[in-house]
Amino acid sequence: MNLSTYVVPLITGVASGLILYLSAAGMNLMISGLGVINFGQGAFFVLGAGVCLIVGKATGSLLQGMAAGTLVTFFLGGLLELSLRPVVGKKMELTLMITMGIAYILDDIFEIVWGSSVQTLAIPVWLRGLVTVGSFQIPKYYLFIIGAALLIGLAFWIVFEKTRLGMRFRAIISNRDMVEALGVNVHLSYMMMFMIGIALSGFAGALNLPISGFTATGAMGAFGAIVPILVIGGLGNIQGTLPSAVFIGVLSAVAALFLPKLYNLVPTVVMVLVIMIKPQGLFTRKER
Amino acid sequence: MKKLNLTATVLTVAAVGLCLVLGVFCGINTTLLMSRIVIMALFALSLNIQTGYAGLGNLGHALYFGLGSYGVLIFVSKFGQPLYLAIPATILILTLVSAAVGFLMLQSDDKMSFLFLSFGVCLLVYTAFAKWAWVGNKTGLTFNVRPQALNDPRNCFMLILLVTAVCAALMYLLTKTPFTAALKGSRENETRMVFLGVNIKRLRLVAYVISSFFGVIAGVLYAIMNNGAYITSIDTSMALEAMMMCLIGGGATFLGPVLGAVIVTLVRNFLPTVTNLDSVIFGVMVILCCYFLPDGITAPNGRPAALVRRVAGRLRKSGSDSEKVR
Repeated sequence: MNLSTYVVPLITGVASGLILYLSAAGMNLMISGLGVINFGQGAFFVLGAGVCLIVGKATGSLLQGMAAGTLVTFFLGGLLELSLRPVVGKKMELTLMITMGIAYILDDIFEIVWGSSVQTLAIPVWLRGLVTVGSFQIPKYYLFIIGAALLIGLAFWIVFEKTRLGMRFRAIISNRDMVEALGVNVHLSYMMMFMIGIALSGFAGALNLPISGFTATGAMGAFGAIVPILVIGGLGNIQGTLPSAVFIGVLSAVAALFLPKLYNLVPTVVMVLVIMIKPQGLFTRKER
Repeated sequence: MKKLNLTATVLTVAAVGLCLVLGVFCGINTTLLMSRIVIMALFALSLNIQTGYAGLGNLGHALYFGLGSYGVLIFVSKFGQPLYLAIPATILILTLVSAAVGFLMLQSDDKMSFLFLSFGVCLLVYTAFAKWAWVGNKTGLTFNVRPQALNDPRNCFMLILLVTAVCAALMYLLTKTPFTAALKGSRENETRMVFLGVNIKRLRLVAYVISSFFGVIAGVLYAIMNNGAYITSIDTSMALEAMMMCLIGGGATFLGPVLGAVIVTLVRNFLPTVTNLDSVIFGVMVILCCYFLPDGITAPNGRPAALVRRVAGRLRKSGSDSEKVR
């Protein structure tokens, strides 16, 4: 009985870590592929939740809402790539500024379309309630999150490691100019990178909707939550994002038990500590 | 080159004069707005030492601005110290803090991780202050810190303008030193500077500390102007705006960030009173600026600078023509 007070927060911690993993992995893809820091990643996280809210309310189905949120952000990712095309590769600050501008624009749109109150979507009946595993009672929805996030993460990994598209991604990450010189249509690959990267964030936002609800001003907070995961996992190190996200999720959950007032400072503090010990990221392998 | 400097000098003097006139003779609201603009100009100039000269993007410079404000308020209202002790103490302590923080943040050579770290640290302190009842949670601290003479906003404005002018002059002198030359070198070609025997980490750390020092001064001025320290001064969106000021104005020229500060402060303070689409307009403005003025408005090779040069050239020409006639 006493053990379950620890196990359940652990599960929720893993779940929230995995949600952030999706968003951070998308961002890391864009950073390592194109050197673009997408400041709007938090805004697209909120946008995914917002679209999911509207569609989910209209159709009464959370899954359809999630699909809609993911699709909308997927196509917006393509648009974002188009808008960044003139400045990519010139100065890092320019891409940062354009994505910031987009984040500003989205901020107002959220306020106007969805209003400033916190809204949430009910969890569908088949995901409500608790599952009893042994002597622990775990909310079904958290298990659903873990399953869905791991599935998407697995699909992402398969695409990245096993398909031709993924091969191109990896080639672009290791040497962009060379790939371009070999005659590969890199712009198509860039666009796919952005679409996948941003759709991952939108999907993460939609997954998060029934837990935290939709807040119009949540973009900065979402971005702030991704940053420690990225830095701890290592910037431009796609494999490092998953362990770092789970690590941060669990750590935050444990911290929430013992330091209920300070737990949302924990990821950043850990980030600073990690930088002191291993500046290139905790989960970065040594380059051979 | 010298002629352009002449234009710049004339423009600077004219701008300071205009500031003084606007700030002193045009009503309380203008005075307050001008005070804010001048403080922001100092803040943007201080950030430009990092983003412009050192080439280190920093998304958390608001940390020092906000802490500067809070420092003064804490020393005066919590510890009961007089203002003339509180200000040097705040500046000294925060400069030392910035040395420690900068040392940590510059551990990694990667500029991108510096960017993220600066953002993260700023967000960390913001979150901590927003939850800390001793510093007034999300409302911040208010206390009558300024002496009697500064209660008139116009006097306060003149003090702010004076301090900013002195700080700006110091920063301008700094840009003429070998230190800044080395800093620019590290921005343009890091490897080469290492080969030349420059300790890049130390160089950047010194730049970071100097930049933070002036950022703290801007924060202190803001505290004196408002008689308060607010959580919005430490917010990351404040830091983003400072970054925008530097990039919109252009980091290549010394006064670029000042122009950026004027534009951004006006837009961010004026637009919300007219429309509720202010962020959309601001965002579109930023994006357009990136496309058409990628090096900022004052970039020496950009379109506006060419325009100014042409106008100045024509004026000079007509001037010399009339001299000939005479």
